[in-house]
Amino acid sequence: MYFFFFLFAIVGVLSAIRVVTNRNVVHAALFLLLTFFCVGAMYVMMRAELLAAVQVLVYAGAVMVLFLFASLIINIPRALQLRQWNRQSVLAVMMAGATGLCMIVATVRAFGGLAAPDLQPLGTPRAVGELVFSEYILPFELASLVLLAAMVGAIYLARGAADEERASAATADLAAVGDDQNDSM
Amino acid sequence: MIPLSFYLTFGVLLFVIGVIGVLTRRNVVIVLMSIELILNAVNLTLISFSHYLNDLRGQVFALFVIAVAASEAAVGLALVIALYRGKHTFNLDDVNLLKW
Repeated sequence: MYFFFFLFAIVGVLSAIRVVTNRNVVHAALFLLLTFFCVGAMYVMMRAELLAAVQVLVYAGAVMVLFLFASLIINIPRALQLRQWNRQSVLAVMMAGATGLCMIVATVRAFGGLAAPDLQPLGTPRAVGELVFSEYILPFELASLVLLAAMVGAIYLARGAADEERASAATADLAAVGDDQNDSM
Repeated sequence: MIPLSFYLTFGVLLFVIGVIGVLTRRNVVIVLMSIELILNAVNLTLISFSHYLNDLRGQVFALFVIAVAASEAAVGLALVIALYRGKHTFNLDDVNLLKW
């Protein structure tokens, strides 16, 4: 058990570092995919089977595809030659590192001796579904609204001027077809 | 078996790496990827507490965090596309019209 934990933890942390330090956006996306798989494996070890499956489906399946499609639009050879780190890099790394060190010390001192629980199955789809559809039905419906709003917003923001001309030309054609039908009647 | 602090330390490490990515990188898409790293670290913390307290609510919370994170990634990448169409750049240092 310890072997699997350290395997997924070390691979996850190393690939997360490679996400942040990579010059090439597509390489960073692939390392992020590896991080998502490692975190999903951790979820299985923590009795969260449904969440592990959702993690792989949504994050590794949908969000990564989104990132890879977006990086198709980026001009990668030009982006590889630019400066990658901004001016506050050294200060940011020091501050974030100090914050992380404080958080690690605080968690180890607070939760260091917490014993392992009994291993009844916890995160089965049936159990999570029973909770989501009874007690947390309102956040569930609101989440669907959030997804709808994000979909509409993303489609609207990603359209360009050429797409707007094509869309208005298509509606003009439909209106012309309607006029012809009215004249023939 | 595995102490809680091990899982939480892994979550903290992912969080710190994500924060470093958000604060230091100039490329917009990599900043968005670092935000996804931060959200994954938060999910890991939620699910590890749910595991150790035998409470399923942490996993339900993490489910909704995944839904919101996916929609935020979609809108963020649509904004990146609109940004590229307007200014032909991906550097956050060049997006400074509102700077004093």
